[in-house]
Amino acid sequence: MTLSNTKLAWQVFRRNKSAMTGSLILLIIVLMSLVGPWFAPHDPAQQFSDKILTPPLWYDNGEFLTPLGTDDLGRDMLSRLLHGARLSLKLTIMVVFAAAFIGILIGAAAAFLNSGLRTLLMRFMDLLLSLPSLLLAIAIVAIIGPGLPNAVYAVVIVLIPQFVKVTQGAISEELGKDYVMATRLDGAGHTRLLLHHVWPNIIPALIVQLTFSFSTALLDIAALGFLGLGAQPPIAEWGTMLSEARAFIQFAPWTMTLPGLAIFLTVLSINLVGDGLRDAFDPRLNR
Amino acid sequence: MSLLQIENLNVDFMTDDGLVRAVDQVKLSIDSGKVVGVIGESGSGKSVMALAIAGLLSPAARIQADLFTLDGQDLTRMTPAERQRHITSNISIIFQEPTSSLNPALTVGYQLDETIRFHEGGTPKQRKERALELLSQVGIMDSKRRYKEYPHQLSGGLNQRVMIAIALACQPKLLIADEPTTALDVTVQSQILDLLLKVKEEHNMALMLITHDFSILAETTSKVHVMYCGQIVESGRTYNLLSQPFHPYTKALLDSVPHFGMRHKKGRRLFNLPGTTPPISHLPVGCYLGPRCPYAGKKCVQPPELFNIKGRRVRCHFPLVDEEES
Amino acid sequence: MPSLLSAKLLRKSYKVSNNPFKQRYLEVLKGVSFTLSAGQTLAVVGESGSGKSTLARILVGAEKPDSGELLFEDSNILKDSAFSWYRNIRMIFQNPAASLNPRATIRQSLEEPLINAKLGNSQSRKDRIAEVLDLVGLRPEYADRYPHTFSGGQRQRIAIARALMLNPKVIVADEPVSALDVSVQAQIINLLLDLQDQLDLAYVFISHDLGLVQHFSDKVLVMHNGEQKEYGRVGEVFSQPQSKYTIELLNASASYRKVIEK
Repeated sequence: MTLSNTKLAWQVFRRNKSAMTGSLILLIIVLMSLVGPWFAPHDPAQQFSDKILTPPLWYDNGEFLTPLGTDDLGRDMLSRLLHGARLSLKLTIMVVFAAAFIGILIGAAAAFLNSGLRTLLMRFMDLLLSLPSLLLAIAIVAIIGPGLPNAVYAVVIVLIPQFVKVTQGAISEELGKDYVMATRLDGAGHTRLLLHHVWPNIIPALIVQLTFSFSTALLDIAALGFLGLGAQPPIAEWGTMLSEARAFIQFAPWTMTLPGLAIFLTVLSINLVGDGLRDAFDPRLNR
Repeated sequence: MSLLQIENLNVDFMTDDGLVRAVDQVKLSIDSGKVVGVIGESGSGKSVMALAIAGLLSPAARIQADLFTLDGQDLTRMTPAERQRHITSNISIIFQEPTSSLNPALTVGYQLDETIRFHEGGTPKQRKERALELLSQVGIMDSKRRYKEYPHQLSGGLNQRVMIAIALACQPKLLIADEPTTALDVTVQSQILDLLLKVKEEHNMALMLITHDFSILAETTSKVHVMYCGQIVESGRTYNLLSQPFHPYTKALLDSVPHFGMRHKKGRRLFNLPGTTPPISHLPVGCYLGPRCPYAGKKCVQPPELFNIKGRRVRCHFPLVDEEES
Repeated sequence: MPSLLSAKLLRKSYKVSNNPFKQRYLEVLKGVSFTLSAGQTLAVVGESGSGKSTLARILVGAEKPDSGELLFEDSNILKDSAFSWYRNIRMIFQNPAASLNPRATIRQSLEEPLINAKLGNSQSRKDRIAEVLDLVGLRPEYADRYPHTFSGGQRQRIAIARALMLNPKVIVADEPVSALDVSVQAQIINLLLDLQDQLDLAYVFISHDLGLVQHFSDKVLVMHNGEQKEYGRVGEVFSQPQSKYTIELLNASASYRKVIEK
C-alpha cells in the first residue's frame, strides 16, 4: 500500500458526490468554452434585424436557427453565450493566476520577514480584506477608469490579499513543525527548505484558495461588466449581457435568465469542486 | 454481589474495512472498594471498553453483552434512556489529557458548579461551599482562588485534580481513570495516584485504572486484566500475574521494560516481541498474538478460549505454566 | 577517555515580554556542564520545563546559548562558523511522525543530508540509503514509500537512519521512545544499543523514564527548572543521590519489581 498523499486525496474526492457533480458541470463548461466558438451557429455580433427578441425553441414561436433566442438587437443568444464563456473563463484564469503569483511571492516573503514588518504587512492585507471585494474593485476602477483591461487589473489587486494571507499562514504553520527543524538540521538552507520541503506541503491550501478565487474573480468580472465598469458592449461577456438585457426582463426573460444561469452554474460548480478539494486535502481525513 | 459485572461484552464499529470488533468477549467484575487494573498497548481496545462501560460511545458503535449489571440492576433490560441515567449516576470517568477535558472558556468553579447542580442541586451558596469542599478534598490548597481561575492558568496536575473533583461531584460508585497520569511529570504522577487511592477510600468507590504501565498497577491494584487486540488475554491477582505471567504477551510486556532499581548493567538487550500490534481491521487467523509469539505452535491457528488456570484466566493454548504444577 | 563533546556552563534565557519598557527574561538554562566520550551515553533527566529540550537544541546547533562553551573534539564549535553540525551531531525527535516530511518519500528524506553535504552521485546515494536502511533493520525497497504507510516504530527507525546518513559521532535523542508502545520501545532501545556498539556512537539521551536511563546510560545529568541538580555516573547518582530533587525523582519512579520483591 504505497499511496502518495495526492492519490489518497483523489480517493476521498472521488467518493464526494457533490464535488464529482461539480467537476462534471465544470468540465462541460470548460469544453464548451474551448470548442464552443467553432460550433456557434452565428457571429456573436451579427444582428438579424428581422429577428429581434426571438424567443428560444421551447416557446411556441421559437425558431430553429436561433435555438436560445435572440436579444434586443437580434443577436443569437447561443453564440453570444458560447463566446462569453470563453471570454469569462479566459479572463478568470488570467486574473487568478496573476493574483496567485504576486500573492504567493509576497506571502512567502512575509513568512520570513521580521515580526514587526510582517505585522505591518499583514494588517494592511487585513484592511484590504475587510472591504467587500466588489466594492474595492469598483473603487479601483473608479480611479483608473472603466473598461475591460482596467477591470481585470482591479480584480487582480482585489484577489492578492487572500493569497498573501493563505501563503503566509500556511508557511508559518509549516515552519513550526518538527520536520522543518529536522530538515534544517540536515543542513538545508532557507531556499532549499522553502522550495523543496515546505512548498509541497502548502500546495493543497493554495489549490483550495485558487478554486475559491476562481469563483470570486468570475463573479467580480461579471459584476463589473453588469455595472458598466468592465467589458463594454458589444463584447459578448456574461455580466455585460445581463446588464443590456435588464430592460427586457418583463417580456423577454430569456435574455437575462440565460447569462444569469451561465454565471450561476459556473460559480456553483467551481465552489463544489473547491469544497471537495478542501475536504480531500484535510489532514484530519488523510490517514 | 459485585458492583459491576460484565460477561461477553462486544463492541463493533462499521468502518471502510467492514465491521470491526474493537472489544471482543470481555468478561470482568469489580467489587465495591476495590481497584482493578486494565493494561494494554495502543489499539488494545482498553479505552473503547472503558467508554462502552461509561456509556460514552457514539451511537455508531454496536454494543452487546450477555450480562451487564451495575449496582444490582440489569442494564441489558433497560431502555436506552434508563440505562444512560443509571450509568451517569453511578460511573464517572477521567481521561489522559486533563487540560483538554476541561472547557477552556469556563472557570474551574463554573464547571464544577454545573456538575453539582445536576447531581445534588441546592442553593448557589450551598453549591459553592460544596465545590470548595471538593476542591480541598482533592488536595487543592487555595481552593477559593482556583475556583475563579480558568483551566489554562492551572498546571496539568492541578487540572487532573479538578477533573477528579468533578468526577467526585457525581458521587459515583465506580470511577474509571483512563491513563490518568500518562501526560503528567513523574513526580506529579505519584501524587495523582495517591490522591485517587485516597478518594477511593473516603468515598468507598471502586476504581478502574487503565494504563500501559505495569509499575502503576503494581502499587495500586488488587486485580489486573491484560488486553490485546480487543480481548482480555490474562486476568488475575496483581501480585501473581506480575511475578509469574502465564500469557506470553503479559510476559513480553513485563520483560520489555527495563526496571528501575534493578542492578545496573549497561548494554543488556531488552526482550521484545517482533513486529507491532495488528490493526483490529486486519487481525491474524486464530490466536491474535500467534505471528508475534515465540511460544506459538500448530494449535495457535485455532482461536484460544479463556482457560481457568490456578485462579487465573488465560487466553492461550500454551500458557507458561510448569507442566508438573498444573 | 578523551572527551568527544563537552559543555561548559551553558546558559540561555528567552525574552518573555515584547514590551520594550518592561523587558522580562526567563532563564531556561542556568549553567550546564558535562563531558561525553565516544561510545558513551549521557542521559539528561528532568520534567517539563526543566530546560532539557533547550539543551538538546543547543547541542545540535539549532539554537545558540547566551554564554558558555561547547567543545567538540577540543575545539569550541560555538565560535567556529565553518563547523558543520549536521555531519557530526544529529538529532532524533520524540515524535517520528512529525519529524518526517509527510509529502516526501523516505528516499527524499534520507537523501537530504547527502545532497546538502554534496556527497556522491545519485547511484552512490542510493546505495548509501539502502545500506543505512539495512543497518536500522528496514528493507531497502521501503525507500520509495511515504511516511504515513509505516508504523510508529518503523518511522522511528527511519528517523534513526536519517541521523546516521553522514556517519555522525554524536546523536542527541529527545525522548526517542516515549511516543511508542512498550513492546516497540524495546525494539528501538535494542537498535540504539546495537548501533552504539557497531559505530562507536555517543548518545545524549533525553528521557523521563529512570528505568530506561539506568538501562541505557553511563552518565546522568539531572535538571530542574534550568538548573543542573546532579551530574555523574548513573550507578553513583542513583545509589547515592546528593540533591533533594534527585531523591524525590527516584522515589516517584516506581517499578513493579520493587513492589513484588518487597
